[in-house]
Amino acid sequence: MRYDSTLIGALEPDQLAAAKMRPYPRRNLGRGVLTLLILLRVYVAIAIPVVAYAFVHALLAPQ
Amino acid sequence: MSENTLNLGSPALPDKAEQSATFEDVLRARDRLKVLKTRAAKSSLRLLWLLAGPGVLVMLGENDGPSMVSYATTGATYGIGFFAPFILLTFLMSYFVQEMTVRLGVATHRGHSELIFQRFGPFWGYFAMGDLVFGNLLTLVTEFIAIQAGGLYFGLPSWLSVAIGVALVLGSLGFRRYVTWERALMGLAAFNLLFVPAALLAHPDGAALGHALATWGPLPGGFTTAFLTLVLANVGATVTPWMIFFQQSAVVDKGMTRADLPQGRMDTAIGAILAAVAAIATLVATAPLFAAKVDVSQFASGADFATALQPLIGTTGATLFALGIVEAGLVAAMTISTSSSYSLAETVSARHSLNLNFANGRLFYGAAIVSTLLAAGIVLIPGAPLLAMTLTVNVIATLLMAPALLLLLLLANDREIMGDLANGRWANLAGGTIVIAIALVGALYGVITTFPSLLPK
Repeated sequence: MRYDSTLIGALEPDQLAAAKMRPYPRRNLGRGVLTLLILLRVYVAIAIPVVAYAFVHALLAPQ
Repeated sequence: MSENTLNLGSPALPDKAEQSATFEDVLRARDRLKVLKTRAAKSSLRLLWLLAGPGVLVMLGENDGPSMVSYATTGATYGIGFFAPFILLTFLMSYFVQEMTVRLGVATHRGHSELIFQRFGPFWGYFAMGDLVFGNLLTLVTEFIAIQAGGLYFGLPSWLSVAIGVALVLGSLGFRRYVTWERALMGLAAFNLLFVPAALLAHPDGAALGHALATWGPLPGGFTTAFLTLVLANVGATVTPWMIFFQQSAVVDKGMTRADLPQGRMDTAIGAILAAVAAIATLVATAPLFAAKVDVSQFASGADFATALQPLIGTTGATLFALGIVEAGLVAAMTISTSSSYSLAETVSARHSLNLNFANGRLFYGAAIVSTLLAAGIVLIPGAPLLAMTLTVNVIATLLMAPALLLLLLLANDREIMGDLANGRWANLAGGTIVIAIALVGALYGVITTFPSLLPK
């Protein structure tokens, strides 16, 4: 559909929905960044089961 | 745009722009036209009014059900001493984090999920998405717990409060217009300040509040498990992953540009100040419970605080408090479900905007509808451990924050997409400190939750 160009001109070109569908290229992650990302992932992977255990433990504890 | 910024070509050249535009673009362009005219007229206050929204909503949205219960528990357990200045500090921290999302939004015009997927690839993208969906669903459950609890204070059965909550959350999606949705929620979020008159009805001692803000004291009882838990709960009450995803997507959906950055920052700062005022007011309103030595450890919800406050601050104060709890849950349910919608749709490259109609935004609206119904359904399960879930959600949100913050920092330092809006040295110092502090706080939270006997109670 064709819309009023003055109105559409209020948007920057890369604000149009069609423009936003074009992805940015992938970025190379350095070894340091990857290590940090993996460390924090391990931190979450360990911590969540611990919290789940605490949750279940609290539920099963006598009131 | 700086020389180093990625050039993605010109997908919408001026002569083709009106051909490739969608109705979603037209709605956003109408809003932008108002902004451009107001800027040309040099009407600063109106410009701020037009551009405010994402920051105020994210900050007041984070003053949600479990957060207000955390502040209330803090006030009832420790009074205002240490925690009034501490809450101010946490909101300052929250401002630093959220300001980065505003810069990311105006520099890239992309949501947070799509940037993670595009720049770091699907492996890290799905992890981030999994964290968000998991955290958001759990948090959404606690918002309906707050709505239900507030309803109980007014004598409404659980199913009715939850049904009204669901109807309002789903009804808000029916606007199909970002700006209408935003203004309606801002009006509703203003009721977060109901905690202020409730605090005034507690007849606070201004001198004691001033002393607390100046000296970070007194701290009755010293360093105990209960104190540490509340410190961590208060941190979890101000910075959570959904806030990052929501504000960036809202900034993009609103159509904000680099020229709007000063107003975006002011919007975030105003939101942080209003939310801090409401949080400290909650602390002050519940401080009479501390003075009266009321044991709040067996309280199940915000409604119990309202009931306990009735003889101390009067029926009006207690009613305002209960209404505030309902509002906190309701606004957060709306913003958090929208955050899930933006992120899920961005992940699968589906269209994502509150300017979409239902036909074009099936996945976008569907995600909010399904998550809302699921969360409401969980709350209504007979015998569901609602209090334990509320406390556990705070822990999980804090744990998931560290990886979310690292991804945020990486994106905010990405000069190829940020250009001259990339983080400077001070922003990185502040951001890095917050990541380390949150990671340590999360680890500590996990340890004391699992091994509560490590510290004196």
